[in-house]
Amino acid sequence: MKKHDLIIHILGTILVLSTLHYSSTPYSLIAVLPFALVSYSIERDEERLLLPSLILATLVPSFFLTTGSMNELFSLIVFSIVFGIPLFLYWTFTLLEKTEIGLKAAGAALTYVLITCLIFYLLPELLGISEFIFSPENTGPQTLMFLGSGMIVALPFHVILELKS
Amino acid sequence: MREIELTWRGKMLIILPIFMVAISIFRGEPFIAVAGAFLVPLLFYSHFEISDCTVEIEDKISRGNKTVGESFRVAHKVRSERDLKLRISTDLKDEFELKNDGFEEEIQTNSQISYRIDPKSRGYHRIGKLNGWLYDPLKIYKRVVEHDIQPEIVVHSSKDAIKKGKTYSMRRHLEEYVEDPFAFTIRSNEFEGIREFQPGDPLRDIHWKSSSKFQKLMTRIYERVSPVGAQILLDCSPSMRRKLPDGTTKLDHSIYVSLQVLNVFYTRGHKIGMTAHDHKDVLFHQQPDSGMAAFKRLYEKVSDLPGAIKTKRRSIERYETSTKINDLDEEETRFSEKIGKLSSVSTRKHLSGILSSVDLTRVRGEERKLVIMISDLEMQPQAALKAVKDLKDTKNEVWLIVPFSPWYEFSEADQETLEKTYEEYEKLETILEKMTRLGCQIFELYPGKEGIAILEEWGERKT
Repeated sequence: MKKHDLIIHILGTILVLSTLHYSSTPYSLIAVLPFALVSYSIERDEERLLLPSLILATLVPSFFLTTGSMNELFSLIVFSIVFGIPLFLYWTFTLLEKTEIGLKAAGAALTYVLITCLIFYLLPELLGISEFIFSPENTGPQTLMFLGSGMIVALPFHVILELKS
Repeated sequence: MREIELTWRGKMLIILPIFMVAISIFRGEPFIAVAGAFLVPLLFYSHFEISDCTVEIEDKISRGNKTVGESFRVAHKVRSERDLKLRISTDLKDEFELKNDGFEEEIQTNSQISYRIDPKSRGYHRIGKLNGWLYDPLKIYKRVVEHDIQPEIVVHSSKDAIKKGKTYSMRRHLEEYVEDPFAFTIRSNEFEGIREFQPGDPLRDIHWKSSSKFQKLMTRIYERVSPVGAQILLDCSPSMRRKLPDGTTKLDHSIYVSLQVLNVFYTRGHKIGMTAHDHKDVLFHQQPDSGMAAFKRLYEKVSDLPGAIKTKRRSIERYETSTKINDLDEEETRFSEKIGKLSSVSTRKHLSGILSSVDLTRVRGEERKLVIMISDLEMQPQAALKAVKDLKDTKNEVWLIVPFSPWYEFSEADQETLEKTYEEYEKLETILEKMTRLGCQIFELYPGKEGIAILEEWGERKT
């Protein structure tokens, strides 16, 4: 087996296992199917099937993950290490044709996640308003802010990096 | 300007997190949105990979002459600091056509792409443009890449057209010299009249004054006079007698040609004469005479001419201007010793056969005649040039027939031989050019021009 394919299978396994861990229902075993579909399309080199199966492999585990609580910084770190970062790498490796990843570019991409975490988890924790922001009643605006503000902050940062290089 | 666009993959990737946020709101749980947030960095990753990447495209166009209708290979080497993917298509100008239509190819950077194109018209052309999309490794963004294919290409006429042109000019020659009632006549300086210009008339004869008067191109006509006799100067020097791979010599070929020429002249009632010479001396001389007997005498003389010689090596320095015979082979030396006994009336005797022959023809009266020199010009070309000049000075008409030469058959040769042969070829061309300028009509008899094409290509490459 190629190194590239091996990494994809390992990452897929991590994602399936973390889905099983977070989810309280045995139906989460269905998450194996879209990952198998991704493996199949890589094996057969089917470009058309790759992206839909990747999207499915992202949506299905995410659906089963909606049972836990994200209101603590610790749970976010665990979630990032076990699900978030493997998901990002899983996408990258599956779309790449070789194992090589541009380190500079990957670093620039991960700063986005770090800055978002800084604004939405670390700062509210320090200010003591995390209870207000991450209450189960307040999920809608919170998630939108999470994505939107992260991009607003990360984009200029990204532009600065680009100009430097 | 750099233009970066999202591919359909990229568009899907933008929609996906938004879709996940919507699900997250609907379910009331932040997990899906956070998972979507982890997908957004993919966009950043791709954008970063593609935005500051420079691409250099180097053009490689196959060497050699390009002719209409013959496709040639164009290759592009793509160099980039990162390993990105390119989808490339060419936007050719009207003068060119792609061999396989609908060319579009996907390549990796630091690799080469090649295709064949067909030139459609002759002239100096630029090929066109290379259009492409540069993709990042994830194929989320794409960037326009445009490249003008730099070198200007010289496209020659097709081989068929050249062949047609040649046939046409050959036919013109025939019309001019054989089918024409004035065949074997030459233009005198006696002014005869003015008539309308016709294609083929010499440009220098155009009468500009009357042209402006009649609003048509008018040309001067000069009286044509028949030369008194025809004299053939046959070169029998060792270079002419060198044995060719097929066992014949250039001299055999020249004898055949000269007999044909003599026959034509004799049947038309002209006087015929012949002088055979080698690089040192005159072998025999027969002054112009008319009638069957003259032809028979010449025929006998020609059959007695020396035969072929074998050379131990192929002499390369054939265009030495010196008259030394040290570089000749043993047999050649013996031959030259033998013919050294023959005497010449010229003061330039034992120096150059051709000049002695010219002196002989001049001694016999002041009559103008047509002198046909048959020589490969390999030995003493300068002397031949001087001979043409001398003959022209005494108002003789001079034709030169260059017989078939073996190097025109070269198809493969090493660099050194090619270099030397090219030098010789250049020398020959300059001498022929000088002779043409003196007013000497030149007929070159080669079986084909492939060898010359190789030499000319070599010369182009050198410059």
